[in-house]
Amino acid sequence: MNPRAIARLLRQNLRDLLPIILVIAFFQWVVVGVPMADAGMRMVGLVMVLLGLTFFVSGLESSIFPIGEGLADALARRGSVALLLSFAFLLGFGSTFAEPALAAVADQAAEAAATSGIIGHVPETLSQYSLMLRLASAAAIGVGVTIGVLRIVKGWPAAWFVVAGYALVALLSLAGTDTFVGIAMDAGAAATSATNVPLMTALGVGLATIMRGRSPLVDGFGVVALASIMPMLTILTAALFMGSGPA
Amino acid sequence: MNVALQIASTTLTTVRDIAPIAVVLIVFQIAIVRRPPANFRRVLIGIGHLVIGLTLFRVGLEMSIIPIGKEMAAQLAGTVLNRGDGFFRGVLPLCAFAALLGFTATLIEPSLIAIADRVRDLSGGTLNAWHLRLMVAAGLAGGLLLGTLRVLYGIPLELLALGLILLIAPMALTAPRQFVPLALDSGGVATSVVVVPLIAAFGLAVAETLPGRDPVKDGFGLIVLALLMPALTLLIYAHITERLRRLQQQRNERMEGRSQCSSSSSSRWWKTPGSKTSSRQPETQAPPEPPSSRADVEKD
Repeated sequence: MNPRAIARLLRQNLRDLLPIILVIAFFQWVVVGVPMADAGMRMVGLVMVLLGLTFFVSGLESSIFPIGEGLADALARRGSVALLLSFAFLLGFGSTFAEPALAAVADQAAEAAATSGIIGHVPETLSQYSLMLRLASAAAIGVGVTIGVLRIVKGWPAAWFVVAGYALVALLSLAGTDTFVGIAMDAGAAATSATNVPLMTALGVGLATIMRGRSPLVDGFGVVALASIMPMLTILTAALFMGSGPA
Repeated sequence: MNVALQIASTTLTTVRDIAPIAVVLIVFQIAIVRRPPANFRRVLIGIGHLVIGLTLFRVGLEMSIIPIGKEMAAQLAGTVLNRGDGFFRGVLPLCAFAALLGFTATLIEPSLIAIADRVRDLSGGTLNAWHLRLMVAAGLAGGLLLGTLRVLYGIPLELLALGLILLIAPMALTAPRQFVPLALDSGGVATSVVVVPLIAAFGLAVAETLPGRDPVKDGFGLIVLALLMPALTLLIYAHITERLRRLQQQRNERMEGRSQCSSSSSSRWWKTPGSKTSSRQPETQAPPEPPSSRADVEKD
């Protein structure tokens, strides 16, 4: 990548970063009214955010997008739907399991479960619970991506699936307990991350590009929405069967 | 705080984050494609950028935006506590901060930047990447605002989520089809590496500061509202543009009828937007607006 392109990207990203800096500065100055503690380190942090953003976006555009779309293309040419679906599942599972944001929500959820007395407050039980939650979410995302890919292959409209999924989530959330509804919904939302979202999009767009009669813009999207609904459904269902415990 | 140590440990987290998916991609690449991807060097450099970028980004966020957001949220929630529930002096600053933070944080969400660029390229330039990101950011701001109000007033999450789902479902089924999947995906794309930790820290700080709020119970549910709201704003946008397009089309048809009475229709120098070009074929720029129709609007 040539230096001029990097300079252009840096300029663009500085434009993206400027609004949040202005908001923080405004509230610090007008509402809080005292100088910020540790301002020097925070400036260093902001510079790292700017550099990180630039590298990450350029990395996505030159690695994840072409690899994902290329593999989708190759798999579609092979013509084996089973192979394609197993790739979709592994992609969803693999890209979600180690996601730090999901791990954070899962740890919080274990903490919440322990406080409300569903599981014992012992470190091993907590980490086991958190691991189970992560496995369940990752598997659910895998299923979501699989359904999303099958939908593209068959040409079914995304809206039907997503609306049906949301309707189920709404029904289950009315039946569940308060804490678990929050955990389940946030786990779904947190599981869609900076690494798996571009991959899912690349897979969908790649498939819709290669298949006749599909448009990448119309049919290629919708995988991410399905993927984030599945963990919600899984955890809400599990909570329903486990019961709310001695809360 | 030792920055070098943190960079090292975050690099480890990032590598662990990317490793499983790298294995899946490599296995399928070897088994199915049986040759290295095109531009192999470029892809390798890209993966290097990915790891370095994500690491720097996460460490930078942990050092700057996340602690700042947390402190400010606690401070503003403290103001609500001290000055009572007075709307302008207590509640308004916190809510304004929530909305502005949600809006501006979405603008630095890397996957949204990359995907908005991809959407622009796929649409042949009809969809503007920056506008798309602004709309998603507006939705996310609304989501964080709703979430803050929920923590402040103890509104049940089920109620809010159900309300949003009831709004989204009929709009998703009736909106112009080419826009719906993108709109439904937008929330998932936006709630990622910046928004999730920032919102979690924000919600926790507010719930900890306010009395009678359980940080564990009331802290959850912010992310899902941030997930649902962008879909709603994009669907509203899709419905509005569709309505406008139809009005424009009707007006053009009327004008066409009129011009056919007075002179031959071949003398029209503008194109009728949308009606003849197929939706598959991307238009490079917005159809020119006939000057006389603007005069009509002004007369009305």
